[in-house]
Amino acid sequence: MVTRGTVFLAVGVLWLAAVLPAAGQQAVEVSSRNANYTIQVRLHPEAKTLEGREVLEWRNTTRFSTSELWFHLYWNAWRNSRSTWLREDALRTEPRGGSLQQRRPGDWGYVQVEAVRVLPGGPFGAAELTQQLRYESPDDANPEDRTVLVALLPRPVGPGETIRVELIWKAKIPRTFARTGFRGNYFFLAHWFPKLGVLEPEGTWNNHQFHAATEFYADYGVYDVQVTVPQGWLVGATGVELGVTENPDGTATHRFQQADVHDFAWTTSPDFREARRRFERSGLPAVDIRLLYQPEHAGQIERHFRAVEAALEHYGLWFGPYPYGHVTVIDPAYESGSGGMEYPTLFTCGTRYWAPFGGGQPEGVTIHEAGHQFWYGLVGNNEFEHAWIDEGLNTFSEERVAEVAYGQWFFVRRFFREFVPVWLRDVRRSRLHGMGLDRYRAAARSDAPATPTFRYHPETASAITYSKTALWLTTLERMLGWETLQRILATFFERYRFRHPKPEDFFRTASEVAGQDLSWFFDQVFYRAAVFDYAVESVESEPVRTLGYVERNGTLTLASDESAQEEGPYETRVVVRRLQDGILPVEVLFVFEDGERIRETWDGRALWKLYTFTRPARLEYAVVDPERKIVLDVHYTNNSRRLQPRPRFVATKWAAKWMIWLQDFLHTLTFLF
Amino acid sequence: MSVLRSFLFGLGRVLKTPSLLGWVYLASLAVALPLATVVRGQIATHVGGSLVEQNLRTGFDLDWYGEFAEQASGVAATFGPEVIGHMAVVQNLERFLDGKLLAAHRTLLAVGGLYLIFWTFLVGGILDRFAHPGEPHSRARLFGHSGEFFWRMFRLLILSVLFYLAIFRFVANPLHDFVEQATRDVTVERTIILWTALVYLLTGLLLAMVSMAFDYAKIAVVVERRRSAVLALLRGLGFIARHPGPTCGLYLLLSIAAAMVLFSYGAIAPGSGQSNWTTVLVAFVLGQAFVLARILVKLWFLASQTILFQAAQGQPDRAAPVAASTPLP
Repeated sequence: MVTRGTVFLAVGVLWLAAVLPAAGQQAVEVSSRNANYTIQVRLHPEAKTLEGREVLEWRNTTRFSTSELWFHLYWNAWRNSRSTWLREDALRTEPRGGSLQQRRPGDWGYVQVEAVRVLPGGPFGAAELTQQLRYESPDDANPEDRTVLVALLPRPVGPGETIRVELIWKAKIPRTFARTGFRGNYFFLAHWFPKLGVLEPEGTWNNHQFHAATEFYADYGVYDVQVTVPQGWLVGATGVELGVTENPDGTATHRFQQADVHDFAWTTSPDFREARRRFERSGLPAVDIRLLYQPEHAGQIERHFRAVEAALEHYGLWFGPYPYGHVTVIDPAYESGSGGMEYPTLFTCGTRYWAPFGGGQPEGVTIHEAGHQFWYGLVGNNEFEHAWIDEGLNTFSEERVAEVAYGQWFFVRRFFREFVPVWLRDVRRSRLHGMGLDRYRAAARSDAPATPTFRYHPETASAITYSKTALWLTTLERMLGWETLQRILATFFERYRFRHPKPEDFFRTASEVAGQDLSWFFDQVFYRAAVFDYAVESVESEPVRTLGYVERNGTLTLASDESAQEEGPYETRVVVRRLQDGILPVEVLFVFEDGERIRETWDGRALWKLYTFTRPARLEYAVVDPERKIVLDVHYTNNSRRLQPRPRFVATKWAAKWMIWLQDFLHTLTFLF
Repeated sequence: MSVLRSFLFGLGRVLKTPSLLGWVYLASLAVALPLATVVRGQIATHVGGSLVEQNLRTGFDLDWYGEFAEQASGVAATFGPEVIGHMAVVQNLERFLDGKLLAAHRTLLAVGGLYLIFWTFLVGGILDRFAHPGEPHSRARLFGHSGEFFWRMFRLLILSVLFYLAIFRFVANPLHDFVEQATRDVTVERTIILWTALVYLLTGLLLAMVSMAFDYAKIAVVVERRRSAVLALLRGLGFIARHPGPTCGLYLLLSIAAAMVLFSYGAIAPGSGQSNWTTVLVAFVLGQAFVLARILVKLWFLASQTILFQAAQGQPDRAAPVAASTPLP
């Protein structure tokens, strides 16, 4: 249970750790801080290249020695079309990387490590490692993938030992394939430096190749990064800007520092405009919000701030406080491909020139990415293998925050090459719709969530990672109540802040906090690709009629003379059915014409179940899962059935509208002649 | 005759021949009603006895729609929230301006094709009526002339469709692609909106030119009793070339009238909230009034342009009797 005192203590410790000494080195350590980077990088905007030098200081926190260091070279995913990322991306109907045939030579990207050496210190002497470098493809043995680099050490790093390694590298910035790259003079630089993988407690490196359906995983540490860009360009980055030095060559070096984070991203452009706001709410630490926005979106500044504040407030109150004291919000350049992505203490949102208020853009994506500061930034699960933890929890949280803060979004469709939004204010998007119920329905069997995320089919990965998780969390909310689920999430957040939780950690926490074993639930929704579909198959309600023999005065007599009475009583028979393989206990509600309501609980295991009642009135309708707790039920329309169906009115109403649309289409067609 | 007079007299001529409006409207009903019945049937079947009916009665239920769309077949697959109110008009307008009218759902295309052929059949008779307002008219004459001109009009229709496709194949789509490539380093959406709007404007102008040329070609077929579709088209183009001011001015006025109809309906188009038969009926009647207004404007184009064409020939309202006319090649 999270007490107020615990919250305040945690807030205080985190605030001391992350805010007071922005440099972070002297702070009370709240994360392992075992992967610390000092980086100098220079941007060449015309050549679209980076030149970098980094010093990695890594401490082995496991009980095992390792004689290798495994690095991610993410940008090599776009080195050529033979990479694993691009091969997988091609499985999508609409690849994120677009048509490779239309790519120009300058669009490709790579990162080339030129030198790796051990710096003297502790038990280690200086050593050159460049000749011992090799590429690995641990996931698919693709010999042409260059996203994993392994450096062989002259001496193993023992448990608790720290090694310092210097890397010199160059990179060609890609025209964005996914989230990072350039468009014109806008640069968004994420996963841009050689980055160490994670040595797991059992002593093996967790360092997957870059895959089309997954994201990232790294240890926490302190980042001290100096970026050199042309003078006059604004820079947004993870952490706090400590200062700017103007160089004689017309460039400026910006220094950023941040402790207790597991990644560092930055962006720069001469076109950015800046706005600031301080978030202050009772019971939560203050947060300085820095917004770098596109000039054409000046009219949406308040909308961005309001969305960030809604996220900080509700996530903070529901799950735990945001400890860093600052966050940088990036409104990305149009079509830069970098929108809607999270990085520690920095995230990109995304809006359009015409974005009607109430349509959910940019508010939805802003809340989502701000929410990732909690689920991803602070609770640092392995996104290669368990992306559902951050994406699913966050999608659920985002939709809940949006509903609380804004109500339901209305339906918007963009026309004319998606530039012109047209909306219907009276058509509202439910939370389930926002979570992607339709997307999930279409992909329900594509993968079991328990499958490592990097093995999901790229086309349908997000339906499982984001949508299915958010939907079953909604089921948990409706089964256990929001207060219980909120305590589950808050406890999980508190326990695994600055750590790398695994699925079992979440399931264990959920059962513990709920006070009941929920493994049966997770067996259904997580470990299998089961599909849920309960239905009311038939309803009948007729005056009680007995034919054949009945016992009367101790003797059996024919009852054929007993006719049914129209005024009752009535025998009601309802058949409910399980149409798919997913099994969850479900409630069934029977409502009679005299207002009587009967509620039964069915374990949902058999393929069907018959309910029979004798009541003074006829049945009006029956509903399986009347509160719609099982939101993974792919067909809710069949969950209810009236004794007297009345679809005529709505069918006529909507067909009439469709007919007007058709007539308009026909007359538009006559423009041809 | 001035442009304004052609414009106003054209409207007068349409209003004096309500039967034409009626025939075209009946044709659209005849095509749309059976299909609407199919859609109605699929919705009714899917909703069945479900309580979701309550949500659909008071509004549109996107969650239900997701389930419906998953299993809808045939024309019912085209049903969606886009058919509601003003969005229906915008969607069709987008299809038109993106060259996707002929890329519609297969059944829709077939039905639309039938409707287009019926329109092509009727247009000869309609133009005859507009060209000879002083002569006695009958249903027999309307359909007689419709039949007489049908194959000429049909050949013009083929040419028109080819022009429509060519505009998108060779102009509009390449221009949109060009804008996309030329702006791949532009970071300001507003700039790209502007360029895209210019492409749409150019596309619209080309479509208007083609539409105008074919309108005068149709008029030439009827008024001058031309047999060759190609020569009729050249005649239409020549007429526009010789009278650019009046023809374009009139087309602009008529286009404004058409736009006013679209915008008016867009402003008052009922949303999704009709929850009883009365309000459903009112919404339907409003929709039908809009359809009638669209047909009226279409006829208005033809009537006004016919008046202008005849006036330029110095024969307003007094085209030669049919029997005395000599067919031109």
